Amino acid sequence: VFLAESFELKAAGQQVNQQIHKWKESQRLFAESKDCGFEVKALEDHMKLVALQGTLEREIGEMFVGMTVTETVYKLLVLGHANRAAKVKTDLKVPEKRFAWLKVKALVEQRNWDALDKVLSRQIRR
Amino acid sequence: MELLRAHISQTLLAALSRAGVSAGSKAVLVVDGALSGALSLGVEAAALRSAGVERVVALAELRSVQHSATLRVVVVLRPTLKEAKAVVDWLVVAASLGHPVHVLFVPRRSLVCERVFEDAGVSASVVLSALPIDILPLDDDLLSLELDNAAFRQLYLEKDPSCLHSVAKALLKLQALHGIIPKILGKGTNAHTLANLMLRMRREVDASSSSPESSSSLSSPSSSNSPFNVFPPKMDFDSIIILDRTVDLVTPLCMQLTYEGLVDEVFGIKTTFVQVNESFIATPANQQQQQATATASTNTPNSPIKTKKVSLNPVIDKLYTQLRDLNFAMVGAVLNQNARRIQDEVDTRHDAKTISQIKDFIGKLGGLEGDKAFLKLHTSIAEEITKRTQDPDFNKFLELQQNVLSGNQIPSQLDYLEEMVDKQAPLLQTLRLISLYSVVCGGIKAKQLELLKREIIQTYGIHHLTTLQNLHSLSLLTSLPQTSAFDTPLTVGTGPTIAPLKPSFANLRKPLAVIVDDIDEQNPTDIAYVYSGYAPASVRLVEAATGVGKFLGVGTAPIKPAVRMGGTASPARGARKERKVSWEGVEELARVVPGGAAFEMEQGLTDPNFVARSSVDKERKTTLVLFLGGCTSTEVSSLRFLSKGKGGRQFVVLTTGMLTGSRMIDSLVEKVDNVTGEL
Repeated sequence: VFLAESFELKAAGQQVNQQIHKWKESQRLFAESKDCGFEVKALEDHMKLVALQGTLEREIGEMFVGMTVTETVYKLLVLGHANRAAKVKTDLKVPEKRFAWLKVKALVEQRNWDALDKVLSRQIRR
Repeated sequence: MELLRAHISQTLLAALSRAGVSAGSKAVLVVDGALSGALSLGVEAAALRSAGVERVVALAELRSVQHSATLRVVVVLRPTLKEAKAVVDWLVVAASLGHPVHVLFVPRRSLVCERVFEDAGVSASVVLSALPIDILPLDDDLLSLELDNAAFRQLYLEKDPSCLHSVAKALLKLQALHGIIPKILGKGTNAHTLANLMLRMRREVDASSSSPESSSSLSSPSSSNSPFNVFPPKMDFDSIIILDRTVDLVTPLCMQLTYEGLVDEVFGIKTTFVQVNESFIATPANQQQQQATATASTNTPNSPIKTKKVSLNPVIDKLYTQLRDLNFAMVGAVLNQNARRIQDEVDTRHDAKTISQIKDFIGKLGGLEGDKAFLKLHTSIAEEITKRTQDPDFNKFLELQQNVLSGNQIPSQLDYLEEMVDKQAPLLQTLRLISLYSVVCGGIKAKQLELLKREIIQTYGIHHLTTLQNLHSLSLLTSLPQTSAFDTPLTVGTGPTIAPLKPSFANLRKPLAVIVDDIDEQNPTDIAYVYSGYAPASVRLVEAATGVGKFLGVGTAPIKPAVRMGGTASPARGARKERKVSWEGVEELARVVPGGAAFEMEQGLTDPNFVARSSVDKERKTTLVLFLGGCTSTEVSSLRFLSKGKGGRQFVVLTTGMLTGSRMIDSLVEKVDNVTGEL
């Protein structure tokens, strides 16, 4: 059963954009077997992500679909859309720690040393 | 292994002559890139030339070959679609001129590839045949089928035993060259299947070879072309130990710390060839330059960073033989020592007074030049590796590895694993460490595991959902039962595919003495030196079965390291050395090791009278150790170490491929073509 599902998933993964129903399908399959709660949730989150990425593409005019959550957040931070990044973070429950890493990385990428200094000193004070 | 090399070269040459290539004819041998290293192990260029091969071309440069009426073209390739298509594309352009093109598939042809030729309508102008070269002697004590990662994935994830067929065939061939191996020991389900398959194949061979008289007249295997006629009455191996890779999944996950292991981890060794920066290689031109100026500086002409294949051939490269099994901590010293020696020898020319002394020196010059080139190569490689080993991430990896192995549970370990994901560390490294943690500790707490999995998916992509499942089904990534405390030794196998109740690493630690605290990297006394304190469990098992090495953990009580070290030196242990190869006495041990049941069987010799003779004239017995699903070069190193020891037994390794943790994990990672993320 597992293997069949995997293939399904692979097929779905290859045609990222319009194949949401495929994901739904595999999600249903996962839901049938008991201990796949994680997989179900992961797929749900993924669909949320793709929807979110669609909106982002429309609003910002950059490519987002096909990226992972982390990459999306990172790109948003680099582009300076801190609020949107924060929204993705809360929507998809990105842990605080990873978000902090991404923020630091993005600030380095932007060469925004002042902001980096601020973030770091805040971290140290804590 | 000379027999095997001779066999390979014979097979190839015979195939060439079948293809109409003879001395003096103009022939082009086109070799698949993946095989060129393999072929060069068995066949010398000179032998090819005298057989009528004008030049050897890589498959990638096939287009440069102009097919003409007089030219004979022989293509050697793996039976994979991509390669077959490349040949077909070329054939379509080259049209059918002159002699048909011979295509040799190694080790056998596949229906799919034949179809490719048929469908393209070029089957009239080609002759397809198989070139049965399967076992490759990577070294005198290391044979490989070079099935790469595919074997591991097929056997243990996809549960596809078809590659066992190739292994069984290879074993038969080996026995046709070296004589029947009477004793078969194994551990694991696949090992058992393989043993049965091999025995059945042998019975078929025995049945088809007619009377005993005819078999004895054919006893020289190197003279007969088909190796399956008869088994020669000799016994180069008195036993074989077949191990499933699942017996010990911990070892490949660990970062290897021998020179060869690290070269493999950092650069990747493929059939003894390694891709390195071109500047590592001393070209003859700048060698001469150095010779003229007699300076020690090794300034190579600065070229754009280009990689080049170099061979790490232990037969030619004596320095490599010296280095490869050493713990990397020792490599610098040995390199230094060699540099001194070469310098000293070069300096002797100043002392050369008489003509004969000068003559002597000139005679040595060639060898010195060679030594120098190898020295340069290995110094450069070692430098590159040092760069890596000084990287903080590498050290963190190592620190975690050693702590996890020795059972020091520190809560921050999981935090670090999380941090790796957060920092978008390379996926393979991350998964490798997480798997190591999970396997050693018997699992990760369900809540934390969930968190980690989410992190992985959010960082590396949704398609790794399947990757995670793959890891799970191999019990590489499991969750601890929720109710149990952190240090519970047993996990209830949530991955039911391996074993319902998985014996965990914690139970192995003591009886197998996998952790050795007082290791001496300089003068190793125990195989644990290869991982700076961790002895590969797989090799420990071999030690237990054969009764060699420092480790004599027969029975259940663990012996303290100090006692063991004193123990082997005393003559009282001498009697033990004659112990036959068997699980006997170590059943308990074999039982706690994961990976399926242990078994033992015998196979009759063709000539019963022979046993008595052989046991007399062979003082050093040899055991063939077969790893199903690949082995790491550290395991080879530790077996070499055992061969050198006083155990009176030599080990030869046969593996389906050389493995590193990253390669193992990589074979389980789901590949999706349109991934934008870095992998």
